[in-house]
Amino acid sequence: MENFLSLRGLSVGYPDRVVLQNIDLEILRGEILSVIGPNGAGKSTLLKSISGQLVLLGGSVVMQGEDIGKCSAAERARKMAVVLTEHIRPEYMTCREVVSAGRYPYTGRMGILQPRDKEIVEEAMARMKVTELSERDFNAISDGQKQRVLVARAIAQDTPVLLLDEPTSYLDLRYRTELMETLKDLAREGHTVLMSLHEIDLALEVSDRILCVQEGQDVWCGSPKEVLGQDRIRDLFGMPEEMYEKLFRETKSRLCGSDAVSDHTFFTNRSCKYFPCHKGADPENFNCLFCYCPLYAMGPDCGGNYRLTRNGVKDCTGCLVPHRRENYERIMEKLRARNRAASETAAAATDIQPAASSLQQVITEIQSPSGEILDLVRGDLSRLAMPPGSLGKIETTAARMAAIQKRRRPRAAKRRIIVLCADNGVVDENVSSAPREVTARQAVNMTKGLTGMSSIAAQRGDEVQVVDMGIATPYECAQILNRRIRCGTDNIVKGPAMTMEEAEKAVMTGVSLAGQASKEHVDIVGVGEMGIGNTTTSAAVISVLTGAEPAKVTGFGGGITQQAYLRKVQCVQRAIEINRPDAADPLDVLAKVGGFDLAAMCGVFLGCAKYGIPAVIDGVISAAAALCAVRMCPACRDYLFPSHQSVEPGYMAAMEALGIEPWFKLDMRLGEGSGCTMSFAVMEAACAILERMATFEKAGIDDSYLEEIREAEKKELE
Amino acid sequence: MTKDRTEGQLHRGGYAAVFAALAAAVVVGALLCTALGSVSIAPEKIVEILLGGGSEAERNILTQIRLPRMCMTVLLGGALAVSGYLLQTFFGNPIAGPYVLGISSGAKLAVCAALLFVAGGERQSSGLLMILAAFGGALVTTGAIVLLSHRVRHMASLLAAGIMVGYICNAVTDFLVTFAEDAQIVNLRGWSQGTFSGMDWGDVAAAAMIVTAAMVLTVLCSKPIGAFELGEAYAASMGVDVKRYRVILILLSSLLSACVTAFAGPVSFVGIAVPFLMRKLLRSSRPPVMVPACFLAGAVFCLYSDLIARMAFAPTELGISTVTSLLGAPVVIYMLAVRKR
Repeated sequence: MENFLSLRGLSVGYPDRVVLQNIDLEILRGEILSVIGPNGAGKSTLLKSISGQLVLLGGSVVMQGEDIGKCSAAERARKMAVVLTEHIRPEYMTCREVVSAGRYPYTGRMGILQPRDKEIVEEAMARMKVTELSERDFNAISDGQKQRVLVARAIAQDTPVLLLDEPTSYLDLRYRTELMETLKDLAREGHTVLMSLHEIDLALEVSDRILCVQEGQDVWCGSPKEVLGQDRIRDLFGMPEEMYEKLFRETKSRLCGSDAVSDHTFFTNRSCKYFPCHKGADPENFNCLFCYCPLYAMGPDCGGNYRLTRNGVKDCTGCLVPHRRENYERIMEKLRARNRAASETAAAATDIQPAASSLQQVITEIQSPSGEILDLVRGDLSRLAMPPGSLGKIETTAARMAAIQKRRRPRAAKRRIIVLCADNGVVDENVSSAPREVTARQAVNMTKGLTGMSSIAAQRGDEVQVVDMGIATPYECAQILNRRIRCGTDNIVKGPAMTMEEAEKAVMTGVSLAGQASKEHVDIVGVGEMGIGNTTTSAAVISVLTGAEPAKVTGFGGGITQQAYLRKVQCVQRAIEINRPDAADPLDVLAKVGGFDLAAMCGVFLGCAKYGIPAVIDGVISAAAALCAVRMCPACRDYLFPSHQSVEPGYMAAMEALGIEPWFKLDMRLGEGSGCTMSFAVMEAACAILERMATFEKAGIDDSYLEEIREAEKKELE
Repeated sequence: MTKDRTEGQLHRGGYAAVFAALAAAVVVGALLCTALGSVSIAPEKIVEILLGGGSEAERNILTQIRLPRMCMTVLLGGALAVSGYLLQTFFGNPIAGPYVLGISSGAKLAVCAALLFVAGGERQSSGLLMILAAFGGALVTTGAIVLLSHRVRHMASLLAAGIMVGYICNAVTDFLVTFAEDAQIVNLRGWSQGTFSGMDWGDVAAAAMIVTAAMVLTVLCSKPIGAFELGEAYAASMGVDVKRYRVILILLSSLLSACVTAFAGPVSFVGIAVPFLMRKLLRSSRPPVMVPACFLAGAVFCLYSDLIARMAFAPTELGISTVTSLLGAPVVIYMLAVRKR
């Protein structure tokens, strides 16, 4: 939701009297903002001033960069539609004509309605349930019906912003609730709704934010939770304490109750097409993690076999708790307990052994992704309303993700970048410009979202898991997961980096990290690293596994002088000569010329294959680890997704050996998992097309024109 | 009609019938106006005369007197009705009319002043001087009203202001009349009754130009006029430049009624009664329907009123306002008595 409507330094009132001033507010697109306050506080004055009915005393209203005050009335009419409190008495106008007046800004010179305009009018009337009043004289219907007709008129004007001044006036309980539902639907479709309300309960229930106004005082804006949490209503209306408690205690506890589990995960995805309740949900499409139904977070371990209740809510057979809203509190309690348990085990696990099964076992357990689901989803994709294959790799990614996750509708809602950090002995050879301490420092900064990758991840909402596989310098950070094998590897120029046992332990640690991600229902994983000197070790690994010359696969890493570069190449050559790693045994290569980070990353890739999580390759180090994983287990390759084409020369060598083409070229060479954040966006897009795109049928397009193409394609395949 | 009212349904339709009836009435009225008079010319003879036959006298009467008069009646009657419609829509008040804004009073004042101070007292009701004076007076008053409209928030206040302006003009006129000689003001009296007599083709041409231009503009403004039905606040929110259209509508209405006043003097009630009747008849307030309907109905009303004015007490001719008032006032009273809730 971007900033859509800005109120800047607004001052509203009348020529002789300022009612409200210094109003600064950024209203988002698709937001519902309710204005509440006592009688005479200035709610109507504010709304009238924003809509242009009253002259602004000061400040400006800016919509999508344009100052509304400078727009002509016609332009403003396309931006904002209003429902006013004034009584109107149009002579001899039917209700349909009143609603059709909403199309005024769009009809031509003589105001003739086109078929599309008529459609919109009919839709608006249907939405407000006034279709049966179409032919009736507007002046002959009840006030409540008139109000609905006027709201329909505003809807027909089809503007991004709707301004409603006390829209619930005259409406009975049923229509009032229905109006709120309609407004929520409209907000979900992207309309911004600004309204003044007398009914606080409605405001609390339906608004994203509430603006409290009081004449002569500064306005205050906050979420319903904040409004209640800060007891704003009591102060605004000057209510006695007992009355306030009586009226709002329940709402307060409902909205402000949950602590450990944040509500917004479950309540704010208004763009979910099944919001607010899964009416008529298609089983395959029911995979919105952030939906209103908080019970969805239970995931598959709630029972697995589910059915849909009459209200379209997912009801698991065999699940301990049926997915109904009444069970919300119980579920929240369960989730909180689960969170507590998870954090306890995480805290306890500082030095646990890697997973019981050995590396060999893991490798044998890896299977290819589901071919059946791949075909099913390919079929689904071919039915989407677009020229076949026109979304290219996004389509293939969608199909592959589905096959990997074994879900017909893949997910990319929970995304994690696992950053493996370790120090390398080869840094003693001065192959890096940065000192060894940087590893520890950057690892800590990563947990705070301060590094290149982590800042992007924070912006995007991707999780970052920083794991200490062998950082040499001491540091203090509770967020970094400690799986330290040793404080840094040995210098590969002088001998092997680590023992075979250590190598296997590191790889299995990686596998267990993937397992943990799987348990925590992470949908996609990006594999990143942090470790001074690891481009050197990666160059060695890549050189051995691909047979390329060290000079060809060694790069400048974090940035070094030409002299240091030559030294680096020599180090790689020497390391390979001295250690003689066996190209056919990737574990041997890792142990001799690799590092703890590389080994663990290899393990993460293997683990993702085992647990069925799509894994994203980052830069050259990540590619080296991926190459190891694929050499250990070829089936692993189907679980890998590329990201950027690293500037490092070793990258392309590794990727060519893997047979995977990078997705984009952004001249990046940072590592840390920075490329993964970008690929995540592509994968989110892949999920979105399956989730949201209409099929030819739903779009009402006759796709028989594609028969020819499909036939031709079939013939090609044969 | 009352049945429909209580059901709340707006039954429309029969537009074709209404328009056909109006058109027919215009044709018949035109025919009657041309045929009847102190010298009756049979309808069949009219065609003959137009084609060149008939006596010199008859041809003169027909082409120099009857036809121009009939054309003017149609033009000015229609103009008045549309002028009234515009104001009624705009003020949202069914008793708004061109004369309520004081335009006729201003015109009358100007004519009075012209007669007393400029002319020598010739009896020439269609004299260029009087025409120009009436136009000038009407437009000056309009100008004053327009200026006022910028400072006034609600149209109802403008209405009141217009009435006050009217009173002022009337008072000044009366003042002037008090000190005038009978010879001078006899013209004034005659003129202020309103009459369609003494029109020549030059007048017809001038009036036709003005009325046509104003009507074209009105039709072009159909959309915003329709928007005003919902009130100024909603009209503004739908994109109508309310300030501009206030001025345009007042100007158009005034132009039309000034034109009438200039040529025929003040003709009352047509502007109020005709639009009201048409609205009730057609059960619609949409400009594309109402504007032509009002024009035709206004023409009809004036044609028949003029006929009565000429024939009722022939050879004495009544002032047209007398007839329209007698016919129109009861309508206004009825309308006031039977207002909807």
